[in-house]
Amino acid sequence: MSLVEKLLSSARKHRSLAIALLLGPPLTYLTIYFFAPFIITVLYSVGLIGGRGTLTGNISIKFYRQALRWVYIKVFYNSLILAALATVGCLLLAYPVAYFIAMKAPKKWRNPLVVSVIIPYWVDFLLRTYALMNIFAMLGIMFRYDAVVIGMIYDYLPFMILPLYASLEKIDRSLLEASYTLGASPWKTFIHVTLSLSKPGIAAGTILVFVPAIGEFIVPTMIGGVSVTTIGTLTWDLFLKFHDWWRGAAVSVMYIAVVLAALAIYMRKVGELEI
Amino acid sequence: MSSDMVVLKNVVKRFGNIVASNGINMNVRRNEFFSILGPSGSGKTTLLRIIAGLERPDKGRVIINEDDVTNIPPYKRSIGMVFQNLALFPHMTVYNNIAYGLRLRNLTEDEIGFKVKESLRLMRMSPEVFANRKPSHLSGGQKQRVAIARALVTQPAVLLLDEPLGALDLKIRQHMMLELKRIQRTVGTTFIYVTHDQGEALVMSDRIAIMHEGKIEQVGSPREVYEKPRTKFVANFIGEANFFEGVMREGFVETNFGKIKVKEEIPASRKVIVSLRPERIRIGNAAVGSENMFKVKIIDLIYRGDTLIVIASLEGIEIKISVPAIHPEVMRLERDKDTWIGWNSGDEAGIFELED
Repeated sequence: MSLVEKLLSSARKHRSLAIALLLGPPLTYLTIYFFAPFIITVLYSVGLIGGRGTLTGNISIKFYRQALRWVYIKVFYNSLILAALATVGCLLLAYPVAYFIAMKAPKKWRNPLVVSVIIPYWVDFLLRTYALMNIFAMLGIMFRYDAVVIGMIYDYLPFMILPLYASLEKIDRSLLEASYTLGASPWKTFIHVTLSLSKPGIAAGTILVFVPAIGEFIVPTMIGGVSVTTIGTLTWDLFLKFHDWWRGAAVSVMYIAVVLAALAIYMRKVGELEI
Repeated sequence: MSSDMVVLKNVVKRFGNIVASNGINMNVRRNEFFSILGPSGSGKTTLLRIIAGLERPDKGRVIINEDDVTNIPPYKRSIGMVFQNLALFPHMTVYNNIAYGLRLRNLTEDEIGFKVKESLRLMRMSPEVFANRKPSHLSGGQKQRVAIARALVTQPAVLLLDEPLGALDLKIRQHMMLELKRIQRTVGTTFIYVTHDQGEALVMSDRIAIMHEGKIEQVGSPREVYEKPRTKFVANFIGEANFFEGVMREGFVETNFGKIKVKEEIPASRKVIVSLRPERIRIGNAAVGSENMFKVKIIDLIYRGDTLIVIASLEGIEIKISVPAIHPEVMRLERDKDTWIGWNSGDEAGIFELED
């Protein structure tokens, strides 16, 4: 028996051990950096943790009641609209780019072009936003809502281009040719075949942009200043300006609930497409 | 009305240094099952794509149903096409796949439904069972039928088929060959069928064009191209053949193992190749009395069920002989033994002049 065979057979014998060893590190990591902070946040939001981290032993929903005030709901609404605008903007800009790279560019140019989409994003997010601030200042559109939308589109564009490219690139060219031979013009072929078959890419890109865009903090803060308030800036203010961790925690939990609900509805819609 | 449905006039197509179509002239008649047969790389698929309008010829004209369509895009040509990978739309049901071409033609949904069901029945598929299935839930043979139905339902002037049976296993392929022939007879549409499989071409076609390196070597009925191949390539590609090299003399060919009497007239002293089908060669006692008789040594016997293939050596040249397995001589044939082979002048499939 070779060493590899020995290892394989012992791995088969100790299957549960192997699974534990494989899952152990990521689970530990997630527990410390994700689950624990999340549970602490929930504990704060229901008032189980009091001042200076002491346990109160009383559950209360008063922070949620405070978080449901009209000003906060409006912030939620603003964030969703802003995220939706950024998502639609990304989709409209990304589709032609992904389409060109996947369908029109010569094969040997596809990978270099995809890389060229990503390269600007190797520069730090913050630095890029500073660069944008300079450009917007020159154009005289700083602190405007449209500038925030443009900034968010800029920051999230590759998250839309890449999944779109992946789904477009997979489309079998003979399907387009079949459509032509059945009498469909290039435009009708695009609508009925290409666009339909790229729906998984549209769905993935939309989620990848929309979800982080709802919680966006840096762009609204730096480019929007005080004129644009989002869930991200609100949470920041509650925690760090007003040191109201309880209300901040309640807003955060509600934000997660809203995103999960939106995702669930969206995924069900996407699931109905069944490609 | 011209009797030709598709006419290619001096069609030339190059891909870089490769000449895929080297001055092709071809006439496909109305209601004909026409096959383009050739090895891979012979340019047969390119030719089909030029007829479809998916490739543009560098030179020459393409005429479909008396209209010059050389500069007309595929979606304005009266064609249907069945692709090698079938190219069924994976996101659409069988019904919507077949209805696709009809919807582009402004028919009412009632008319579309009627035609889709009718075409499924022509393919011997139950509309109730299959209409709402996705292509991923169909077997290979069923996908085949849907692809053909989709291409035929718009009643094109010509149906182009690009090796559609390639992916099927032998039994289904044999069945689909007969089905295609039946469908073609039923609808009467002109079929142009591209294949590298001589069996498919011989079984289904009214006429076959044999392609080689961007050129058409011969066009004819299956019987013509098999029995009277015009070039050595055709003789070799269609069926099997033995080739003997020699020099033409008066009424016979002089080879390095003896004289072969032949019927064909070729000017004397030319270098020629005689081709002879394995089933035309008699063996053992049956060979006695033939005009051409040679002693050979049996190298191998291959039992094929219906026939026995004898591999024999004639002065070092390997010869294939095919004998019906029930032939009385079969029992006497043994490996490493000597026997006689023979044939008469006129049995040869052809004599081809060698170019110097």
